Amino acid sequence: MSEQPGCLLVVTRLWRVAAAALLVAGSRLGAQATRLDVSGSPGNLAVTSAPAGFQPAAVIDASTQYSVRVHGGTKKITAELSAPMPAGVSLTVTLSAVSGGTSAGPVTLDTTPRDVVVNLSNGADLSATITYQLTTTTEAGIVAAQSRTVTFSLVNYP
Amino acid sequence: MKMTHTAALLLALGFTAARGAMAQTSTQTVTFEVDPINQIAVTGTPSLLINAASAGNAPTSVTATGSSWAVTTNQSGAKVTASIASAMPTGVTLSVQLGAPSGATSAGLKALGTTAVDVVTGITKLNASSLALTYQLDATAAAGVVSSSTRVVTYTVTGGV
Repeated sequence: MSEQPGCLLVVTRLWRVAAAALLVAGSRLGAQATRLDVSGSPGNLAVTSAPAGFQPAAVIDASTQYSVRVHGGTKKITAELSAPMPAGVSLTVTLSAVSGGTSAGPVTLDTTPRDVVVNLSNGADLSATITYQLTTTTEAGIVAAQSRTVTFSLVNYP
Repeated sequence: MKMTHTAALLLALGFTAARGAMAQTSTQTVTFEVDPINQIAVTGTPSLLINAASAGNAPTSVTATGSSWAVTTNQSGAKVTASIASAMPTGVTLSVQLGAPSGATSAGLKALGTTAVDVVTGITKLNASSLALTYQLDATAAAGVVSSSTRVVTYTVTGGV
């Protein structure tokens, strides 16, 4: 190790201390951070039948969950699609409420962020069910298998 | 220079750890499809009895109304066929007429046999119910007396494209 002038050594040590302090603070903040996670993706939603004389029967998937942790102010969760649904086909999502939040109930998804849970207050990790429902009309015809990405965002509320 | 690198690295780690305080997003992939759907249903159990004639003419035909049918299809150009499981007695004819849903075409009164016949065509992407369904029984004098008998009429909706 090469020798350094005394003042430079002091400055170096101060930098290290300051940076270490920031790292510790950041780590603690990260441990408490606002967080939103989902448990994988739902199964294939396939409309396959209808009662004669009626529109096709909707299909539902409630196999996934979301978990949320809020710090630093009231939040809400929004949901949006990566691309529009085909004409006559509708995808709705319902996020059951967690303690301290309010579910918006079934929300029809499109490419605009829509509120699905609001008024989320600070709290520990909480989880609840995500329910998807696919509905279609006879006019929509046959729709080949395809996918959409649903993006959930945790943002400030209101 | 070494001091600068060290500080920058630690600052980057610190900010990475703190990043959790920012807006969070999470995604799911939803896969969906709509399969071909063709459903038909009928209601009613009609009974037809020929027991009169005008002198000099064949026995008087009888009709049975009050039945109905319903259909759902998400295909274009679907049609409904009808058939009976076993042939009618000689000289006796059972016919059926189905009212057409919007945009489709009824074939009118069609005699039923063991070979399926088209009774409604051109059904395209619709759901409809309470559609008219009428049976008619005809008999010739030569058919004589026919004891009570039943036939099962099978309706089938087949998709177009």
